Amino acid sequence: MSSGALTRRLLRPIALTVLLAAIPAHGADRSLEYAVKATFLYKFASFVEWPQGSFARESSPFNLCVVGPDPFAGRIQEAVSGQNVGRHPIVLRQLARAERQSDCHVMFISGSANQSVAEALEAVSGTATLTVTDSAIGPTAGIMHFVIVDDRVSFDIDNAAAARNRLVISSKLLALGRRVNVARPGNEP
Amino acid sequence: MPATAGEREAGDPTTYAVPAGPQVRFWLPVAMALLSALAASLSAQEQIASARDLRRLSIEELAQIKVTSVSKVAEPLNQAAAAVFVITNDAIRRSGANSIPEVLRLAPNLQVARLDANTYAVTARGFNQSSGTANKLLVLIDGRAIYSPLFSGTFWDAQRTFIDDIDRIEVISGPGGTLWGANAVNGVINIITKSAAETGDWTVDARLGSLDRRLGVRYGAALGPGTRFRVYGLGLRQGSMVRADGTSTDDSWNHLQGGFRADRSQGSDTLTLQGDFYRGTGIGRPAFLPSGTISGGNVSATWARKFSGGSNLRVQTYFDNSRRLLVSGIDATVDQYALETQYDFSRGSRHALVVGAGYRITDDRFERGPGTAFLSPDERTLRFANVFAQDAIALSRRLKLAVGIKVEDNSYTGVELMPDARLSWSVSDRTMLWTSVARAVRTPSRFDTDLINPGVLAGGPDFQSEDLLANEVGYRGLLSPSLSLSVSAFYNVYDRLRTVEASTPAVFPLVVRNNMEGDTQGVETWANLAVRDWWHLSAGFSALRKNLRLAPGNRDVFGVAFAGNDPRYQSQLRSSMDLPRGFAVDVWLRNVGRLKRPAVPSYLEADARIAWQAADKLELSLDGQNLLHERHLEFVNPSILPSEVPRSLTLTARWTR
Repeated sequence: MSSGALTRRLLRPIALTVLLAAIPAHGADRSLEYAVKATFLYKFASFVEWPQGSFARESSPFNLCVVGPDPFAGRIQEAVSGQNVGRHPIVLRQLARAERQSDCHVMFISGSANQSVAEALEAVSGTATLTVTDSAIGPTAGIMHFVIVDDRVSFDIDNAAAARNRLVISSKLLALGRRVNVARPGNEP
Repeated sequence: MPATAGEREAGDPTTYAVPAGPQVRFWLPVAMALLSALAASLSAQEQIASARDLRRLSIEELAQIKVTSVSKVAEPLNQAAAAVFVITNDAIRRSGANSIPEVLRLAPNLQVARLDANTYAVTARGFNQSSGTANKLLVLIDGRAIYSPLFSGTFWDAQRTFIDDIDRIEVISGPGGTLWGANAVNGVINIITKSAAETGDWTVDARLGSLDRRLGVRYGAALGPGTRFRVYGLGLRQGSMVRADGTSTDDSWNHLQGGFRADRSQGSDTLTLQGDFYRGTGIGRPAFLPSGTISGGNVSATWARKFSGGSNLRVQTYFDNSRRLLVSGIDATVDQYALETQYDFSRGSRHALVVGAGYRITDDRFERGPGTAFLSPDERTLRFANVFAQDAIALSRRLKLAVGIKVEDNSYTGVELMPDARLSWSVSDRTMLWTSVARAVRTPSRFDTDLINPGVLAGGPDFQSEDLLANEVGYRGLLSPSLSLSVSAFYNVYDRLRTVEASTPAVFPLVVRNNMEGDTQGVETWANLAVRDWWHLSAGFSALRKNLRLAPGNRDVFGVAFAGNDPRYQSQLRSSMDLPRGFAVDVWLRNVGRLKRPAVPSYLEADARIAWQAADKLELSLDGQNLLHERHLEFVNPSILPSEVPRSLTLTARWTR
């Protein structure tokens, strides 16, 4: 193949991409998707064991945090109002940044210019935090990573990352999600 | 948590309409019937389910709610430092394809060509073979390697399953030797079926077409707590292709197959037992060369344990029998026994490790027909043993390095090493760049070493493994929330490729040697765009350039064209629309460049499908395949008359419960 022909062939997909990118893609309705994700966020808690000392007292709150812009638009508050995890009342906290001392039991990370998803994950790595990320936001994955499979909300579970944060995820939840970090090429980190 | 979970039966419908108020509750029965399509077209207000209402659902039920979403495009974005294209269950269903090779056309990083009613040539990154015997691709179904030790390729006519039960197909172009072993040279196709826990009670799939007819029935039920099974049966008749003059090739096939899968989950253990049994018969004119009978079966058992520290152990054993009895008198039987184990664990916060080992025995018998070539010895037992290890190291927050090696010992060439290094850099949360260097080998097969035709071919007693050093770079990213793009480029350096050579001093008999070398370069790219939440577009493109040459001192007689017949480019575009009133429309265009030797012109073909969710559990669809031409040629096997693929129409009814 002449280099000109090769160049044309290589350029073809790029031209196609530009063409596709020019089509606006707004107006998608994602309210149900985020209502489901919000509900998952607090339901995860029933299938995860936090290490000893994660709660000061039996009545200490269970902190559910959203770091960065909140894509849920109030749906988490709606989902968790009046709910408990064990005896711990669920408290929703909105944070601009994840810190080592954030003291969140579940942390949904949406990332911002201020702190990317990867930086937020790094900040709480090794603390007893169940990190949750969203493939709709980007590919950087926490312990739980929402994905859409067959039009349904599912999640990838990185059990090695959970172990690093001293969390034990029940087999029921593991069976429901898709395992990642099992190191075959299709799934490897 | 309030115990709302587990009170419903597992067999509940898979879509839930969630009442948001009295008005919506009134519409519940209607919504139940039409939800899958309406979800996309209803206005936001009608569709909003309040999170408060979702609370009463169990976590399993939450996972079953259909959300039509633009973030769907994010799903193929995984973090693997490899060119991975994932064919989803949804894409398979929407393609209307009724065989695995037809499904594989969905992957832009594969080349698929149909040779006759029952024979396909499938490869990645080139080297497709005219006789449908491409040999640099590893194919697995639920961890069971299905390539034949006779020629290191796959007999696609023997590989079928209940297509609806396929969860996904991961198509990895590029070498996968470190984790997958020898023969994962140019790619790996990993077909993964759903767990029995994920499939429903009944599915009946009936297809009546101008070319093919097919009936498949699957039944699933619980077998006590934590255990579920399914059984399926399918019968199909594949119609004949046509000659260039429009006459029939008389090469239609009947195929009957049954199978089962049971999954048991108890605490941290999962046990899977599965198997398939099949028989296919050519019913055309017996003069047609590949016609005959194929039969076989397999049984596989897998045990997986999750340890509390986050590590996983997986042990799988399987037995696979296949037999091909051809009208030419050839009777080939292969039995394979395999035991494989893998353990993954992390050390510290930076290292994720996998170690594993495997042992496989193949036992074959090859009986010749009158006047045909034969294998000598006519029975052979081959042993393959391997160990492997890989460490994925987080060098920094954004930089990951995975290094690994597989050591495999085989009956032909002894120990082979397959090392692999992959580096990935998450430039941002939406952009990943990766690069890799890997060595892969194709170990000899019986057809390389032992194929004898007295006076013509004397086998390849000195045949060595074919060798590849592969270099890859790739990009994967989200260009916008609704547009994902993957681009990968490769530079492959091959050594010791198979040649057929004159013997000294006479020309005949020919012998098989390893005197071809060279390089290939190419790109593979695909993009997904959600134009609207009800309209998705996917585009794919691949280009390939080969520079192969014969090594000094060769006495080759066939030339480099013998190594494969590949298009320089191919592209495809798919459109998937969910329309109101339960209609879905799919259009799929495919363009494949011309082949040189034997020559096949380039072609553009189109499939179209309109599906209607006629009732809650019944979907009707009309599929048109290869609509643009009355017939078209895809590939030529020089030893038989060319078969062309005709245009066809299929009516499908799919009932689930």
